[in-house]
Amino acid sequence: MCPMQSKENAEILLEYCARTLPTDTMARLDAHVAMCSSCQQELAAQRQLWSALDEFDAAELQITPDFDRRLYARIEAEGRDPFWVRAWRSVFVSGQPRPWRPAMTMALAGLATVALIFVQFPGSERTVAPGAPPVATISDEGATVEDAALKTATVDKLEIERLDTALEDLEMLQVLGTKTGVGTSNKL
Amino acid sequence: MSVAAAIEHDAQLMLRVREGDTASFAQLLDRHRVPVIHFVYRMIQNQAVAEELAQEVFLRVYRSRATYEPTAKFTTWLFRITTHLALNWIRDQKNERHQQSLDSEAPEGTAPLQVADHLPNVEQSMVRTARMEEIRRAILALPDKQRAAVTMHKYQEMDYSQIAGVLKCSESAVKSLLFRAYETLRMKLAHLNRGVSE
Repeated sequence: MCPMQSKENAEILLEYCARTLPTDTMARLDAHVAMCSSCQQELAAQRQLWSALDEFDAAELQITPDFDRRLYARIEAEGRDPFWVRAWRSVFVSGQPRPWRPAMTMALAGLATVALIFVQFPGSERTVAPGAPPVATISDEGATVEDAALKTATVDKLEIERLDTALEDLEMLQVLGTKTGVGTSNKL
Repeated sequence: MSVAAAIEHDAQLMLRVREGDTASFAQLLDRHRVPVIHFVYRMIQNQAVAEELAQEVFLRVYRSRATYEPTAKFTTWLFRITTHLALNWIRDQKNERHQQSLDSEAPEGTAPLQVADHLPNVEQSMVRTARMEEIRRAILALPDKQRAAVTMHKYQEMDYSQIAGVLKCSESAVKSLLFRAYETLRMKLAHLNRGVSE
């Protein structure tokens, strides 16, 4: 088998067929092909393919006569758009490469994600360490900050009432002790 | 005019468009309207859509006038926009499953509408139409990038470096794409060649 039939060389043969190789390489291959029936067959097949592809020519395509008129109408219409629309188009829908566009897209996606999280979980910004006092720091999932403050105030009020009750109990014991002769006043 | 001079000329025209010279844009349109429409047509096989996408290409060129910098060949840039739009259209059609496949629309054995419409005489060119249909099917069946590479290489006569610039890949990748595409086409169209040689 001819070494020109390997994949790498077949690509060179393709270039040879297209006559796109340097002149000296073309001359050397001319000499080889003249002696090699395998390469001759390969080239004949490629030329036949190109001949067939030539038949598939778009030359018969009749371009619509008002192509230019429609294009200029679109250009004119775009010119009438508000400034911000034109600016948006020139940045995002133009032919010029914008190397920073992927970065901007990622930044916008990040902002959208943060906004989504904020909307989904508006009151869950506090976290509680294990063993921390529950009253002052815990806010139940989904509860607002106002709810937590209200709960704290209620608990504080209960504590004061309990302390008042204890003091009243002590005073009562003191009165009883005075009446029965048991010295309880030192304990207060 | 040499190729280098022509490239320079295109870039110069675009720079003049940047300065507000609309006549230069008209010149660019004159020079590249047909190649762009033909390229898109060969990619998607639908004239109306090809013209629509070509309009979008030139619209984008015009939009970019203020920021245009001749960092690459004008045609490389132009065909990058063109290929991008054509491949996006093909992808969208595949995704939406709305592709007006001529395979499904045209009954078996009939000529495809888009191709046959412009034949001067259908009766006299039935054989040619059938061959065209075979070729059209074979090209359409190629993977999108291979199809774009073949269209640029065979019909736009672009060199490997330019195709690589348009497809944003290496020259060796372009050679590989073309090699595989031509291999596939040769296998699929071998019977046409036998018909010719017999």
